[in-house]
Amino acid sequence: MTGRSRRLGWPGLALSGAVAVVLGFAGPWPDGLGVLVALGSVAGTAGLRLAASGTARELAIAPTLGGLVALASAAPPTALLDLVAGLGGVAAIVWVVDDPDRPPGGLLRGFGTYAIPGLAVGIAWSGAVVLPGGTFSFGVVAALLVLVLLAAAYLTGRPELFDREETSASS
Amino acid sequence: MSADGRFGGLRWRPRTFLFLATGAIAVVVAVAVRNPLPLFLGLALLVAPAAAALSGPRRDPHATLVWGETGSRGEVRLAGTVTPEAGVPSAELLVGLERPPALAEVAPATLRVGEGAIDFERRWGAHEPTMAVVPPPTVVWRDPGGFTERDVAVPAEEIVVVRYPPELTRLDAMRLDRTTMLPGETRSRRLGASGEFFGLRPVAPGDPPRRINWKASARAGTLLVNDFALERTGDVVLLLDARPTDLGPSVDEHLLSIARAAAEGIAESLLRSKARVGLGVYGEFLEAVPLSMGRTQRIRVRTALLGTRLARTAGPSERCAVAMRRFFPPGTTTILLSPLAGAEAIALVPHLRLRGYPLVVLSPSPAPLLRAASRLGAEDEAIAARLVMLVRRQRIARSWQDAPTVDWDDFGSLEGFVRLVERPASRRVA
Repeated sequence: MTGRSRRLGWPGLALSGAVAVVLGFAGPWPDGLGVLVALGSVAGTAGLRLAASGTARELAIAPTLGGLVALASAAPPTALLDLVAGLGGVAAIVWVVDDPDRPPGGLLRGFGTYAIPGLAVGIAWSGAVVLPGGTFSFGVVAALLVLVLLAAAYLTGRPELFDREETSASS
Repeated sequence: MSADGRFGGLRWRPRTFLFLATGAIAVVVAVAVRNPLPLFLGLALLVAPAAAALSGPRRDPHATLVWGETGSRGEVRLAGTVTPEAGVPSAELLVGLERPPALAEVAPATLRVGEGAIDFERRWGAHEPTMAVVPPPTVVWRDPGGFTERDVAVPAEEIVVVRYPPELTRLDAMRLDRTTMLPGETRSRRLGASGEFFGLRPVAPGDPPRRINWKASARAGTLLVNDFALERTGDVVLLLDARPTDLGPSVDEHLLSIARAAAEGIAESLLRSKARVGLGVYGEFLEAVPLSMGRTQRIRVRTALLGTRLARTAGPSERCAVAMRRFFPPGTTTILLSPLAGAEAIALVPHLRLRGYPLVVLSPSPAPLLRAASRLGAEDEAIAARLVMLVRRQRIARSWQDAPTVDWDDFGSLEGFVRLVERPASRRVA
């Protein structure tokens, strides 16, 4: 892999771009505007990673995330597109894990960081496909996600909950 | 690290908040437009930070650090190896080394991430005499996604980088006005130009040709000089003027740091020749390290110099001279390190002389610093430099009336000072 492609993080960027383009195609955007939004957001991310420094570079994924939210909210709800939207989130995580400022091998080392969300998306999607559809299941999923959101907010404020105390040697 | 030795635990990085905020927006949008697609997107984003935190170490990890400082003269090379505890990949550690302001970056940092350790090297330049403390590198564990981080405990000593002009190593020839009862009774650990033959060493700048051992040099293929074990004792007081002046805090601090490095070099050289060395730092009041000798005194002097800061208020010169009598006997050779910036600073010289201290003044000149900081055009700068030089000459001349004074404007060399203290005749003031 060349230096420039390593800096861009092609695997994650290509996956995010593909997901965004699919959602852009599927949405009711006039005259290919959805595809333009998709490509623009991914290009914004690539540009920030190449040009910016410091915190701006760390948050370079923001345009892609914004684009994905916009495109996903406009796309029609089908089982396949549900999975594609979830894949978009996982692709964004893959992209940040493959950080060019860190030693190579981030994709391998950060497997847990994208595998666990991938698993969560897989379970949620399976549930959505297998369980009877309709307004009821949507309400349950939304409620569960709101719960996840509350849990995330709580955990963000209490990072020490992730600490594990060392066991003291008994005398 | 907190006072009880614990580190801060897990910290969330800005990327976490971006993901959580985007995930929350996705959930709200999904509910608002009644479309489940953003929910699936938001789910992955909301779970990612927690997954990153759970996939890393569950407490602040530890690492061992082996590091040291090499280099000579103006080059400072710091190299070390950070080895994390088992289970923490070295690729997930970030090593940062803070550069003291007195040192300049001469080459980019090199960092080599190995299988179980990180080797780092920093090359800095010391373009002027300096005495800088380099704290141990900060080591941080950060998950590959950059969502969370933890401090890594690295128990290690700080490194003190000291650079002073090489001529100070030849101070063994300094004639001291007050010596102990039986000079020459105790063999010195210091090597010098006369005494009993001790050994050979590579030639250094300032070594006279007569000390070169030509036969040994021919055998070794490089120039070698003879070293002799000295026998001498005596008393010296180093007095640092740490009072603020009209030059401003930044120039004052800069000059004080140069004077500290010179004082460290002089003390080190004289203590190795078994002289008794005392230190006085005068800001608003006199802080003193009484006369003593040996390795412990070297540590005392170094610690005192490292803790020396510019005083907020300038004490009167007479107070310093009076306080000196409480700590140091009159007649002790005193080296005053002062920029002599202002009438009050110059007044210290006659006060000390009148109280019986034979003085040598080493005065770091503010002129090079003022020139470097100047924003004037070339023509104005030339005029300003001329004015500074005239004022400086006048002050040095005033000081010379009471004590021999060295105007130290080339911070890379102290040849003039060493020559002056080697010859007592040239130190006498009419």
